[in-house]
Formats: sequence, structure tokens, C-alpha cells
Amino acid sequence: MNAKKVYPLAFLIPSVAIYTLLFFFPSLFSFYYSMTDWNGFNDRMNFIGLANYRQLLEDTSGFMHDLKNTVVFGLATTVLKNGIGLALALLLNEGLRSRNALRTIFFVPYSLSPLIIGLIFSSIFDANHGLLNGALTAVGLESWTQGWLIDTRFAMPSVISVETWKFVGFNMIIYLAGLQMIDKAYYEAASIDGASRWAKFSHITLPLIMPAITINLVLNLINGFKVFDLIFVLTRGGPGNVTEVMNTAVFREFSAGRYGSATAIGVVLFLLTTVIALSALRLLSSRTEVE
Amino acid sequence: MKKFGYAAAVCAAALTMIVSGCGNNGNNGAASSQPAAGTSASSPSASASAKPSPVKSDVTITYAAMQTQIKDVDKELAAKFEQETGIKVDIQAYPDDQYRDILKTKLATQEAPDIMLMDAGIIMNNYQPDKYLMDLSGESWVGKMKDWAVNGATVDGKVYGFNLFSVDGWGMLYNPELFAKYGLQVPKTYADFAKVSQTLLDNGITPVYENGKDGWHSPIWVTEVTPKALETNPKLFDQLNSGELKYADVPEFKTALEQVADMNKKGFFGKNVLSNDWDHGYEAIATGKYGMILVYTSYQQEVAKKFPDSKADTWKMFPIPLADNTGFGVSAGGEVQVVSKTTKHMDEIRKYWEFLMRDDNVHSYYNGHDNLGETSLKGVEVKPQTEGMKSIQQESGGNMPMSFEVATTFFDGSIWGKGMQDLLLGSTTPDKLLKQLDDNRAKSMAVAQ
Amino acid sequence: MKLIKEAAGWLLALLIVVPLLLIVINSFKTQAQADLMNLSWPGKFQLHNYATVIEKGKLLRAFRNSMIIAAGSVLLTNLTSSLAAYVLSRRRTSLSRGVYYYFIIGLIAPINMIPTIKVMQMLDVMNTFQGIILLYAALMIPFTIFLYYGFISSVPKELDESAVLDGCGSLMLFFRIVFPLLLPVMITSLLVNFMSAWNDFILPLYVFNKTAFNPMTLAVYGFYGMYVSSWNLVCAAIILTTLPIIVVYFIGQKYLVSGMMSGAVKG
Repeated sequence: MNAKKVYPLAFLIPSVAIYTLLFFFPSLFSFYYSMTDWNGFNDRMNFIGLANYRQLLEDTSGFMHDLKNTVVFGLATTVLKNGIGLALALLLNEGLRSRNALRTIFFVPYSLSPLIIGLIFSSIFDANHGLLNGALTAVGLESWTQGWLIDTRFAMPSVISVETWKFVGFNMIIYLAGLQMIDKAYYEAASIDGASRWAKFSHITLPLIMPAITINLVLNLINGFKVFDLIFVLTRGGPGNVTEVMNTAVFREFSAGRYGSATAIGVVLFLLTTVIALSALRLLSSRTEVE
Repeated sequence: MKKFGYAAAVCAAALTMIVSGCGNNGNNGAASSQPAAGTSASSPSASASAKPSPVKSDVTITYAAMQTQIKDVDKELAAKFEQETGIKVDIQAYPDDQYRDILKTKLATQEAPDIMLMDAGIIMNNYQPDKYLMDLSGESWVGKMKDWAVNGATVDGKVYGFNLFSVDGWGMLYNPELFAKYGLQVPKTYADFAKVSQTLLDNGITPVYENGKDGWHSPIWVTEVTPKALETNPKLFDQLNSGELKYADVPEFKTALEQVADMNKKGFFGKNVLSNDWDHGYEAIATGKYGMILVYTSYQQEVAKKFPDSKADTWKMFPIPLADNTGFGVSAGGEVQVVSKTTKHMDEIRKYWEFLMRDDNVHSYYNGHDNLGETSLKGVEVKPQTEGMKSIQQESGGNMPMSFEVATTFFDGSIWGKGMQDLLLGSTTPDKLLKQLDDNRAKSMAVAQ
Repeated sequence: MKLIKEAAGWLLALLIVVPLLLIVINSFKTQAQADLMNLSWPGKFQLHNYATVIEKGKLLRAFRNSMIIAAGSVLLTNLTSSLAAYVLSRRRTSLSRGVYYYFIIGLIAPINMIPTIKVMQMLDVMNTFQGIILLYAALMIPFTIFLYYGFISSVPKELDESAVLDGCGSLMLFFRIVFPLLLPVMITSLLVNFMSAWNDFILPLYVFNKTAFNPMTLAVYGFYGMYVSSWNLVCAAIILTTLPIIVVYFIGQKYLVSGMMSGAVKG
């Protein structure tokens, strides 16, 4: 069979064309813009080399702070989404009667727009009128009430938990898919050998769902590092700059008319995400090469 | 195979929808004046509004504004205008927090709407008016407008904005009965203000409602001390604009910040100041839970409307006494309508403005915008001055300069807002905050130079 | 033991259900009641909130717009992506590997609005549904190819060979033999893409210069303002704009797991 004839490269043309023209090519401009003094106040767009990047590195209370927050947010949400997602998948995989109903419910948040999720949770977390503080007070835990989104200690954890709330169902689905591909015979054989639950999990389940873990880790890292909408709607990066991340900084710089430095932050974020996502992919898939 | 048949049916249904959708949007380019020509079939509500009006013109003017600036009356007037002239005004309401960025992008790509509502004042420079906006200096209405209305819309000697707004500023609104009950006088200094607040606090009333959550409000505590700063240094604006002065060099700014922090520390803003939002301010002040609130002069009318028992329309205002300020800093004339240079409908826009300036329409316009007071047109008044406006004018002795927010370049509201939150959280000091703001401003000055 | 697990599952589900219930309940209240956004039962159900939202937010028109935009971009994306992923996954050459990674970069790269608009102007698609459909497709193609690529690897190549022996051309081979087998991954990516196109309201703001094209999600914003929010109407708008995706989700969800299974997980 002639692969070249049966699988013609012409099939690639529509997607490559659309993607290149409307996404890749315009994005490529970011690299150039980030090395100019492009701004909203005049027509100038001079090439200034790496000056924007240098300025970012010197800006310890601004950019470096946002960078740190981005990493914290990206890693924390990745761990939580995966951990809880896997736990839920394991729970549902036990053949619960209401499995389908629960699966449906857990996935619903993923289908909601970040704008809507932001509105819901800014109301729930409100310090004065919010449902959460109201509930705590009602059960006699008044001392636990907090300004969830306005207290420097709780703002970041609150935002992280909302992001987790949204994506946990998606992770669960991927893990469920992975779990259902495992041949039951493995477990039966292990049971005959008298393996403990933990041994079964660590020797059968975990290695066999490695592809699912890989996919979830990589997608969650990418989503976590790129976060914008949710934080913007919930806290706008506040209080102060406590929940400011790189993409909210891009927005801030763009609003201030400093387009060159805004795109520079965007490029750094892109490179950072690529490096982290690719190394995660490498690391994990080297252990589970399917091909 | 059964499953596939089902999916195919879904796809086919969706495809039909697209084809029909694209069908009626194919003639968009040619006739942008008939939006949604094909919609009436699918939306019953459209049939009501699509009256077969005599075709006098098939032009559509596109008009963009922040969503919170658009009121029902704007749409009603647009409908009336269309009925009279056939010219459609398509009012596009953008989410407030995205609006300015979308506008900049649209201007830079020649995609701008015909009319855009824009903040008046020197901040218009952020949009390169010279390059993108129509010079309206020669329009017939310029002579009919009050000085502040024209001045606020003027950049480098050219008028860019049609002003149908009000000049207004921010001051402390209070209930005189409440003050009388506790024997309180209108404070002229910060020390007096603190005493007033303490008395209220001692009587179980939280002295000041401050919506720290929103970020945009708290910087007003500093911008409103402009009159005092100008008394000390009449060249303040020029020197800030030339870079000769920094924010940190203005003693009144620092004092105001220190006093905001002091008020917070003394509990004058109550608990959870950062959780308070603008929405809940009406109730907070109307019910007397709070004693004072920093607002514009028509705010009391809104309170009175929502909570008639409060009799808020009889309340009074005084200038914020931080840094012992006694003047009333005002805006550059609020929001003005600017026109994109790319417009093809200047004549229709002129007709629209003439229409809006007609006496009956001016009346409905100003009455329909609760936040507006005085009109921008010479010799036309719609609403009586509010008690707040009367009293604050009196208290300030007519000392009503523009506040530096609108009179100096590169005022970055979002950075100010975040900084003020930091201050209220106690995570920054006035000195650090001013330095941070100066650094941020210096960056913009450097790129814009 | 099973019962405990079942109970635990439902307890966790409460964390999802309660916030959603909050929206449902408040959508039936008066503005003053909804201002507090709590779970107390509305005394009288204010059904007219929905009528208000539909009328004021022009939701019927917005629904049609969102439908056109979401369905159009999803179909375009799926058609082009499945073709590409098929070729990429079948020809395991360094070229196809390279093209695959070229697409994968799109999972991470940021969108840059100004040059994007300039390209759209060159194509003469600004301010049209075609334009926004193309733009969404460009943004969704990377993830969709990623999903299909893994799935197609699990479709045995022998099928292709026998079909070719029977005289199938490559287009016919793909659409008649392979495409039907892709149903689970197709539904999955339809679902995921539909949600992201439906939920976005930012790009339409840039691409359109016409209120008649406004999508449904934007309507929520109309009732949620910086100054005064009518939470009852916001909630009603949320319900109405979310309902269509929930419906789509319920229809497609049984394919979700199996689609993800071979799609993403094997990739």
C-alpha cells in the first residue's frame, strides 16, 4: 500500500491553513512586538532588543511576584485537580448504583463559563453576605468565617479551589476512561495471589493509567499557567496584587498602554509553559511509551 | 450504524442552521444597515420591533459605550430618532472592564465604531486623538455648550467630544438630622472629621461606607484633595505632566494616604472594608447603619428613589477634609461622544446630535440618567440642583478645580485601586505606595516620550 | 461499604449542586430578595424574571447567534481536524511528527488580537459569522487534533488496507470506513469545543461591530454592572445561557468517557 497516496498530505491543508493564518501567524508577531517599544500613546514601534525583558527581570515586586503566583497557581491546581479527580474516578469505578448520575453532576462545572463561575463564587465567598460565611455561622462555626476573597491569606487558596471545582470533573472523566481500559483479569489474578488493595492500586492501577495521568498533568499545567478569566472575575488580581498572575499582568500592561512590555510577559509565559509542559510530557511518556 | 445515523442527523441539523445563518449574513457587507434581516423568522420578539417604517435612510450609526453608561432612555431615544429619520443607531454596550482595551484595539485596526463614549479630560491622549478621532472644533454645537463641557473634551486645542454629561465631583454625603442629633458640625479639618467619626462610632454607627472591594473608588480619597494641593502649588498639574514633580513630592497626597490608613485603623470604615461593594452602599447609608459616604452629587437622588423613607434627597454634602482640604475637585465633564476618523456617516451623526440637543430630548435624556445633574448646554436645565450640590458648592466657597486624575497624564486607575487595597490591608505604606505609583507612571512616560 | 461510598459520592456532589441551586433559587426572587444571594426559599416565584431577561437581553436572537457560532465552529473544527489527525497519525514520518507538534504549540500559544484582526481584514471576514467561526476553529484545532490523533491510532490500519484493495479512494476510505469509527471521539470533541465556543464572549466583542450579532453569554453581563446589579436577573440569565450547553452535554455525555478513553488517554 502506498502511504503517500492513501494518506494524502492534501488532507492537512484546511486545518494547517486556518490554524496558521488565524492563530499561529498572528501569535508569531508577539515575539517581534515584545522587542519593540510599541505603545498606545504614539505611532512609534522601534526595535529595542531585549529591553522589555530586562525591565521585567528587574521588576521584583511586579513581574517576579506575578511569575511566582503563576507557578504556585499552576502547580497547586494541577495537584488538586488530579488528586481529587482520580479519587472520584476510583470511587465511581467501584460500580456504584448512582454512578452515571454522579458522573454527570461532577462534570457540569466544566461546562459553565468562567464568567458565570466567577459570579457564583464571588457571591458565595462574600465576607458580609456570602453563603459560605452564612453556613459557617449557622452551624456555630462563626469564628471560622473569613473574608475569603479579600484576606491576603485566603484569596489565593480560594481562587485555587474555584479553579479546582471547575476542572475536577474533566480530570475525573479522563481517569475513568483510563480505569475502564484496564483488563479486570489483572485484578482477579492479583486477588488470587492475595495482594492487598494498596498493592493492587500501586502495581496494577497506577502503571496502567499512566497515559491518563500524563494527559491530565500536561493539560492542567497548561490551563493553570494560562489562567486569566477566573481570577479576573473573582478578584481582578487583588486584594492588592495577592492573586495577580502573568496573564492578568498582560492585561494590566496592555491597559496601561505599554503594549511592548505586555507582549513580553505573554512571551515569557508561553516559553515557561512550553518548557514545563514538554518536560512533564517527556518525563512521563518516557516511562509509558505506548508506541 | 444506528448511532452514526443519529449523529449525522444532529450534524445535518446544525449544518442547516449554519447555512441559513450564513445566508443572511452574506449580505452584511453590502447592507450593514439591515441587521438581522432574517432574524424575524426565528425570533418572535423581533417582529414587534421591526415595524415597516418608511425608508428615509438606510444608514446605521454604530455607537459603543461601557455597558453601565447605557440606560433605557438611550435606546428609547435611538428608536425615536430612527422613527423620525430612518437612521438607525446601533448602541453597543461593552463590559466595563474590557471596554477601553477593546476600543484601543479597534482604533488601531481601523475597526472603530462611528461614535464612542470616552472619558473626558487629558486621558483622551491615551487614544491618540490626533490620529484616530475626528476634530469636531468646527461643529455648530460647540458654541452652545458650557465652557466645562467643551474644555473637558478638548485636547491640544482641538475639540474631540460631543458632551452630553454633567460636570461633577465627589464629596461626603451625610444626613443633617443625624449630625444634629449628635451635635456634630461639618468638619473643615481632618482632626474635626476624625472627631465626628469617633462620635458616630461611639454611638454604634459606622462612620463611613467605603466600597473597598471595587478598587476604583478608594483612589478618590486622594484625587479629591487636589484643591488643597493646588493651593499649596498652583503649578501642580504642569509640573506633574512635565515630570518635574512626582506623586511622592506632593505632600497632600501622602497626608491623604496616611489619613485613609488612620481612618481604617480607627475602625471608621467598619469591618471588612474590602468586602463592601458599591451595590450595597445604597442600603448601608439609607438605613443609617453608616453615617457618611463618599459619592457624586446626584447619588442622593438614587438613594431616595430606592429607599424613599430615607429622605436622602434632603441630605447634604461637604468636601472631603483629608489634608485639611476644603475645595471640591471636579471631573473634566464625565463621558463624551467622540467620532472615529473612519466613519462614513458624519452627516447622520450631526443629525443625531441635533436630535439629542432638542429640548424635549435633552429633558428625557437627563431624566433618564440618574447619575447626571446639570446639563452641558447653555441655558438649559432639566433638574434642580441637588441639595448635595448646593451645599458642597457653598462649603467649598466655589473652589472647584478639576481633580488631578483627569488633569494630569498617565493616571492609572487600576494600579491606584490595587495600591489603595494594599494600603487598607496594611501591606504597604503611603511612602511605598507613592513610590510604586511613581515608578509605574515613569514607565508609561518613558514609552510615550 | 458500598452504601458508605455511595453516600460519600453524594456528599461531594453537594459541593457542586449547592452553588448551582443558589443560582436557580435566586432566579425566582425579587431584586431585593436576591440581593442577599442566599438559599432561602422565594415566597412567591417570580417567573417573569425570565420573561424580562429574554426580552431585555434579546435572548432569542442571542441564542440563534450563539448557535450559529458554536455549531459552525465546532463542525468546521471537527471536519478539518479529523482529516489532519488521520493523515498525521497514519503517516508516522518525521514530517508528520513535526506538523503534529506545530499544532500542539497552539495549546499553549497566546492569542494576539491586533494582528489577528489584520489577517481577518485581509480575508474580508471581519464583522461576519464566517469570520468568528474561522477564528474559533483556528483556536480549537490544536486540542481537537490532539484528541483525534490518539484515537485514530487505535483504529486498526488493516481496515484501510482492505478498503484500498476494494478500490476505495482516500477520501472515500476516510469518510466511509474510518469516520464512522470515530464517533466517540467526535462526540467528545464536539462537546468540549461547543462548550468553549458557547461560553466565550470576548472574541465576538472584537470581531463584531453590531449588536444584532451578540452571543448569549454576553447577555449575562447586561444585568451585572459595575454600579447596580440585579442578581435575580443575572441568575435567570445564567440559567438560560447555560441551559443549551447542559442539554448538549446530556445528549453527548454517554460518549464522553469512551471518547476520552481512546482519544486523549492513548495519545
